[in-house]
Amino acid sequence: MRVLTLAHGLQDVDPINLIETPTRNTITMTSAKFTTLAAIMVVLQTLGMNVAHADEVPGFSIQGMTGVGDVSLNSRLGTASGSIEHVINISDCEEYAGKQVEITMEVDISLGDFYYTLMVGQPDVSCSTSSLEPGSEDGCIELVTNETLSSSTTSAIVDLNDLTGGDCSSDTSKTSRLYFIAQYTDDTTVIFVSTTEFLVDLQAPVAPVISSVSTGDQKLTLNWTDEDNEGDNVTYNVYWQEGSGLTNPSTFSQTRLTAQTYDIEDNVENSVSYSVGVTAVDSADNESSMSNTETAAPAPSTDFWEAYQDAGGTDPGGFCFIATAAYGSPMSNDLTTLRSFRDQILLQTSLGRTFVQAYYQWGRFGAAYIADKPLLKAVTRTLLTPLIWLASAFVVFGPMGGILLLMSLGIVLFAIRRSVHRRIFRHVPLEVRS
Amino acid sequence: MRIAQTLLLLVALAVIPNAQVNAETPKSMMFELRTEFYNPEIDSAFESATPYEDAFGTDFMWGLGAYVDYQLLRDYGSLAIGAGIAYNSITGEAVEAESDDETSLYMMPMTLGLTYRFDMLAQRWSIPIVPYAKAGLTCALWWVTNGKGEIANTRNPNSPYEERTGWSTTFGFYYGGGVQFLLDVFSHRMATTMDSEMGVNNSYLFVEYLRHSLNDFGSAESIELSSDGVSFGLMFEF
Repeated sequence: MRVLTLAHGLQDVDPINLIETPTRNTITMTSAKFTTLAAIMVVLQTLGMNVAHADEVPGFSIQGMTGVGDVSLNSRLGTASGSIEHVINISDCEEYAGKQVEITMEVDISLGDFYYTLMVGQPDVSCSTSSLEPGSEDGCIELVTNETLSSSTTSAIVDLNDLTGGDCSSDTSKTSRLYFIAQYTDDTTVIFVSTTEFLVDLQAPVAPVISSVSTGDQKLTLNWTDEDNEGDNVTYNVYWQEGSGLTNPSTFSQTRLTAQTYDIEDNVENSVSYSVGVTAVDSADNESSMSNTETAAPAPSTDFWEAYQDAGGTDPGGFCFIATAAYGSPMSNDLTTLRSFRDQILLQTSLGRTFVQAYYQWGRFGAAYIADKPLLKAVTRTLLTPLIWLASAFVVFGPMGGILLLMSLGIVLFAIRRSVHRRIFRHVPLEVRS
Repeated sequence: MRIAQTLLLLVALAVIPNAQVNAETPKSMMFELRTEFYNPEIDSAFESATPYEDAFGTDFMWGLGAYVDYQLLRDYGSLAIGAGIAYNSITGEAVEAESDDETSLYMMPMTLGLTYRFDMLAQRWSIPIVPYAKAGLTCALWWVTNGKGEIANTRNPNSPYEERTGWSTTFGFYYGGGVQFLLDVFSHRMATTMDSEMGVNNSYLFVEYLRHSLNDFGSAESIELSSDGVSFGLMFEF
């Protein structure tokens, strides 16, 4: 059984809408109910109120809104911005003043073609949607009147001024509407209406107030207050640039901040003066004017660790990479030997310095890898042992002594090898040794 | 006669607490929550420089810690083995700063040690005082942060190729002692309830002094984190 129901508040223009179940079949109902409903409608129409057999246009949706002839400037116009859909802000209003935009719509035509009318209601104007030929009303501009729609997608060209009212400096927040009125071509008993609201937000938030700028080592910490926009769901843009003047856009910026404090750590140098400012941005992307501008210069500082090292502190800190990982403790005597070898031998030559630099750049990865692998740690310790002996020799006897010792060791090893070789091959004829 | 009555009363007083003790649930562990004050002797490694005092002044590092031990022996007091962890920190203005930067030193000592508690006074004669002594090993993880809140990093002034990162571990040992005050004396009823419902036999308030020797056992390449430390807190025996 098909049922006609009574619903309220679907559209501003229709205080009462009669909603059909989502089929396109002709409405039937019990005669008593129909009579009652018809009587109500007659009374309401007599009182001057708009009444229609209306439902949402099946499958109606706005697909996009782009500027005619300049699509690239319209990526967000009429689409979601912040949490609001179909919003026109001050920037849009100014940019497209006097220009046209194309609105693309989609409708479900699987059950048949439509006759349709498209109409724009200027800011805060409500238009009649009781028929496909609503007639002229002040502030209601018909874009398409009673034409056939046989494709699921259609579009219409709209003067943006019709949606915004034309005064971009009005400092108002109003609502414009796009009305899509439709009837099936083979069933004109029911009228479908979809109203899309466009928030025309031409009110910029109030500028925040910078309360303090504290300086750090290659850092400026900015704090601000924003009592005027409290509860308005604003975000903040921070701007900074070298020198005393600050423009928007400035040389550097950080956008969409939610806290009322920000550490500027990028693109600032010590002893260089920077101008800093903040703006508030509302959910329609309207940006406030610039806050009060402050000037400050990051300044160098010495943290405790630097002070400790500068004073001659001997603790190297960190975890001595591979060797520490292998020995499990940075205080091992062997590690002390290796450090002495580094400082007294390697760092005295350019080749050694290159090696140390490379080691400190890459060694940590090896250390991290073996840190939790006992077997690898044991292997590393074993491999490090002769190196530690050698390092000890270099430290004790100096570079030349170390080299001499290394050469002596090589000669001894060579002699041993030769001796062993002779014993093995003593009885083997020369011609078969190879 | 009066002498006999007095003796009888003393015997009763000595026995009644024992009767209460006997009614307790088994106990073998102690858990303590502590707050401690620590003053690392970093500057003692230098003849004239005072990097610690320059950054942090003369304030103590303050921290919180927890320690748990297991009682191995319970004759003539109790001997327990335990482990603990603490977190200490201090923040000061950066040294030689023309800016508003701050620098901080954080320390997380992990301890493993033995504690002897002379608790016979409380157990046998209801004197609510338990002196104790403890000693053990410490491994302290520590790190220094710079004005950006990151781990401090600099280069060895003598070996510019060597990057020195302001964090490491330092090993050492500690010894000292303290006094526990048995809180059960204020409300035996509450103590009984805690025992029966939560298994906590006794609660103590304690104050403790420890000497921490924390310099990689005297290594020349260790930061000097040794300190006299005073701490106090609550202990729960269960």
